[in-house]
Amino acid sequence: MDAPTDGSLVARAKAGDQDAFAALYERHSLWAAKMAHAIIFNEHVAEEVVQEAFFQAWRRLPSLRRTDSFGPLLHTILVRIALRTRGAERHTNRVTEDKDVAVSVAWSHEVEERMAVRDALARLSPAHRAVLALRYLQGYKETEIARMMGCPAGTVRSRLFFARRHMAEYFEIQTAHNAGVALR
Amino acid sequence: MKRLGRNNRPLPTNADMENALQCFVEHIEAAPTTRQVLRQRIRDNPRQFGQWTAWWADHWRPVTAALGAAAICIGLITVSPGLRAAAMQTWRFVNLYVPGHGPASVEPGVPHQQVHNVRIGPSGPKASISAPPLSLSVATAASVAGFHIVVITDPEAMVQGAQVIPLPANASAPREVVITYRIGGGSSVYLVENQLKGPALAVPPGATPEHIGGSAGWYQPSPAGRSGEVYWTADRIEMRVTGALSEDVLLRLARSVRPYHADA
Repeated sequence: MDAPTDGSLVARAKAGDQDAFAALYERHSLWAAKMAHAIIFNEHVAEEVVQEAFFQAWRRLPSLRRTDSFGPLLHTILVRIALRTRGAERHTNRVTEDKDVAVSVAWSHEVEERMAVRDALARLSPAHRAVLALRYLQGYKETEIARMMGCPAGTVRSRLFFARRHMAEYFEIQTAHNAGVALR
Repeated sequence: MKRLGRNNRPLPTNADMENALQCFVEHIEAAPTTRQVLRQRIRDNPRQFGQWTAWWADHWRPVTAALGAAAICIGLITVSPGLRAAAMQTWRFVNLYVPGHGPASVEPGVPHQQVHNVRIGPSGPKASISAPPLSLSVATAASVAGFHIVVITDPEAMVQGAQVIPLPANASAPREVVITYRIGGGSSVYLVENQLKGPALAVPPGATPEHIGGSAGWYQPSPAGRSGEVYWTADRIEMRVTGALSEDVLLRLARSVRPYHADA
């Protein structure tokens, strides 16, 4: 039996079926957590953002006209909450980028590569990271990202270009590193 | 050819970027406690409460912009005499009600030929507009909010025509109002009964154009400090009143014209 579509789950959730919304949560929560983490860089705050995003999405269900657009709705809410949370709490230093999370993890090439990406991303602003997450984790188009973030498409394009140029340095280091490993 | 960055460094491809971000978030998992907390929050917050906040979250920008624009317009109109005057010119209407025909309206400056009927309402003067033939017996009306006086003559008095007379914005300021009554065919005798306190204007009963003659005038100061003149020509009576005239006074003055039948 085919799994119910987002549209049918949203329709049921709009009618008050909490199990349907739970199914939507199961379907979207993992990628929501990944996106939140990519933007926030703090797993505890990211959890709160995911929870708040789903809660806001639940509240907005009655006004959701296209029932098959739950994913974009959730991602829009999540990105906006993430940016707002981070912006609001930046001055109080409550959001700290947990750079040492991976230290306890067994050292491996994979961890090393992940930390390198993390270092590269950490030097970007949350807004740039949000654009990257929407573009490369979720595959949205630039115009869709602009609509979701409430900014012009040109701004999205320039952020993408800046972020990619910034990441180019990381890739250069990785290339050199891989070449060194190969020589050894 | 791949675009180059500022330092001539080749930009990573989309595939590179996807791989890098996938690598970064690969180990991230959804927190198990989030679902429980979320379920509890949804139970504690009925969606009815959230509908309004959700609508507001979606529409606060256009609503705020509209309210702001309206506030700016009202503020400009309030503080700027010129804009206020222009707005009043636009918005102030001569309210006209046609008995049995519902409300109608005539903007200031409407040609008097378009105003046909008049009604004096219980709350004050109301001019009415309707298609001919004239059917109301009310003599005339003064209207509207110190902006215009609409004078309609009484068909019963065999007087035809009307005047729209601009008034100064301050209704209590001294001003001169000219009310002209055109005499219909066949009528020759009129009585002007003044309903003001004291005799301000009077035409002797039985007087005819021949009695006064040509454009001869008649003048008598009134006790209330008003003055008036009546000019009676072969085809019209022109009543000229000067003084601080309220709408009520103007109304009563205008209504004071009554036909006088020589055989009555």
